[in-house]
Amino acid sequence: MNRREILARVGEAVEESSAEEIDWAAVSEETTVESFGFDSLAVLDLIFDLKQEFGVQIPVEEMLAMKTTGDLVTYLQNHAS
Amino acid sequence: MMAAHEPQSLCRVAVSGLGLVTPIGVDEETVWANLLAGRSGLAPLDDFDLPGNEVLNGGAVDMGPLDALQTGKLRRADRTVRFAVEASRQALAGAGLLAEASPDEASSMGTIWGCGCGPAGTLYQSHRRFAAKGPSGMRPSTVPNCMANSVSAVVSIRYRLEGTNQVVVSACTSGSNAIGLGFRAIRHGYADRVLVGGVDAFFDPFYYGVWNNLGVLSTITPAAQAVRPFAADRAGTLMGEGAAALVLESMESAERRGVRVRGEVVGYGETSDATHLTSPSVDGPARAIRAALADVATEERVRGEQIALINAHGTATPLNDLTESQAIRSALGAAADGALVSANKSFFGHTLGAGGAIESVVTLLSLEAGMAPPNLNLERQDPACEVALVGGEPTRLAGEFAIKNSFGFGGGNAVLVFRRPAGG
Repeated sequence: MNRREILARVGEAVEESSAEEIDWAAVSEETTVESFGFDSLAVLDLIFDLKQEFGVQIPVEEMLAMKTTGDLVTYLQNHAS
Repeated sequence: MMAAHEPQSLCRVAVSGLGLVTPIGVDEETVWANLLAGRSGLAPLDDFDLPGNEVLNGGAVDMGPLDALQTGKLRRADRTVRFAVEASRQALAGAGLLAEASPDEASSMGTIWGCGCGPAGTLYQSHRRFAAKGPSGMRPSTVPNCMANSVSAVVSIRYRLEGTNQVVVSACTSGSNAIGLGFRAIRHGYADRVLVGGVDAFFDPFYYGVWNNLGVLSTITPAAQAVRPFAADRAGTLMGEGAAALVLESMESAERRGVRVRGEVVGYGETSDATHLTSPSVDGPARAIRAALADVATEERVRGEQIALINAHGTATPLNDLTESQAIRSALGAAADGALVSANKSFFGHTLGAGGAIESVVTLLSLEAGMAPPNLNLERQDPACEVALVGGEPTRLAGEFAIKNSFGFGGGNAVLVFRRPAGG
């Protein structure tokens, strides 16, 4: 799976969890995770959704440390089986 | 004994803000105009996926105004949450408290909501997901999103209401119970202001379907003519969705702030039939009406003759309207002849936990305007229902007091006594 495909699948999960209206077409790997407006509960939902989608369990502290969607894509690319 | 329980320390309770999200409008002015014009909100439920039901008519809220105001996660929230947040916004704005209760400035106000079904749409979708994916497929947010108290929780967070935060679950009396509890909290000095309300939204295949099969829905068409409270040819109710919110505060607080007082809550009575889950009684509601009148503070004691309006539970089922009429007659005696009975479910449908709150707001608007909205579809009154009904046109009200009846499955009965605002 290439980075663009991963980003698209991440987008579906993010849209369901975010407190903000997200124009995913405008999201790039430079978009900050902070801009999605996650609260702690939404972070748990996103981790859950990503595990369902990619089979990757992201530790909460690692998720909170991610700055951009590019960081998230890299993590998933490195850990997906 | 706590000072708060001493009779001489009772606070008068003002209503200083009103909010409405209903099938005939999502603001006070539109709702009142449609009530006076006799425009029902009952119509085919075309916007909902409800296959397999005999009756597909009801009172649905136009989501357009809410969509324009609500964004992000709130826009995707359960309809009960969206309705309650909007009704709260209106009520807080009307009371001049929206800025004070903004996320930047916490408020000591509490919030109490009545909700009969909980977040029904979210529960339905969650159960579908569970059936498809099992426990390992359930998102962590399922727990808070499915809580029966999700409505008061979200309202409390959104408007930073740091006082009590709870939901009353008592079927069709939920909204009136919530108002009654807020009234008592202020009256006895436990709180200075409480945002109270009622809400329900349950046009999902499960909840709507089971109501269909209970045999209480009217099959009369068109929908606007289906609900006929106290009429000889009444044939049941239709379901509705919506919410209403009221800011209750001590009269002293309202007068100090110089806010417009929309009316006063002066009494609250609650009883249980303690007989049957669904079959209504005469005794339980009659005791609740007497209890509500007896609850009015001694110096303002209300006699039956002073009641200008009874906003009935009035479901338009054959049994409810008969037993409610008998309960009114039992509680008020000959004074029932002078108290006009108005039933709003021909406009809204039966909004369950929202009903007591929506219809309480209508009661307050009626007292304020000195005008009762019409009873729709009342061509011929059931002679067995011996009450003085408002007719098919808006009717002038003479007195300053009104009562609101709510009776619920499970046997609960809640009755509120309202007084029109001074100078009204």
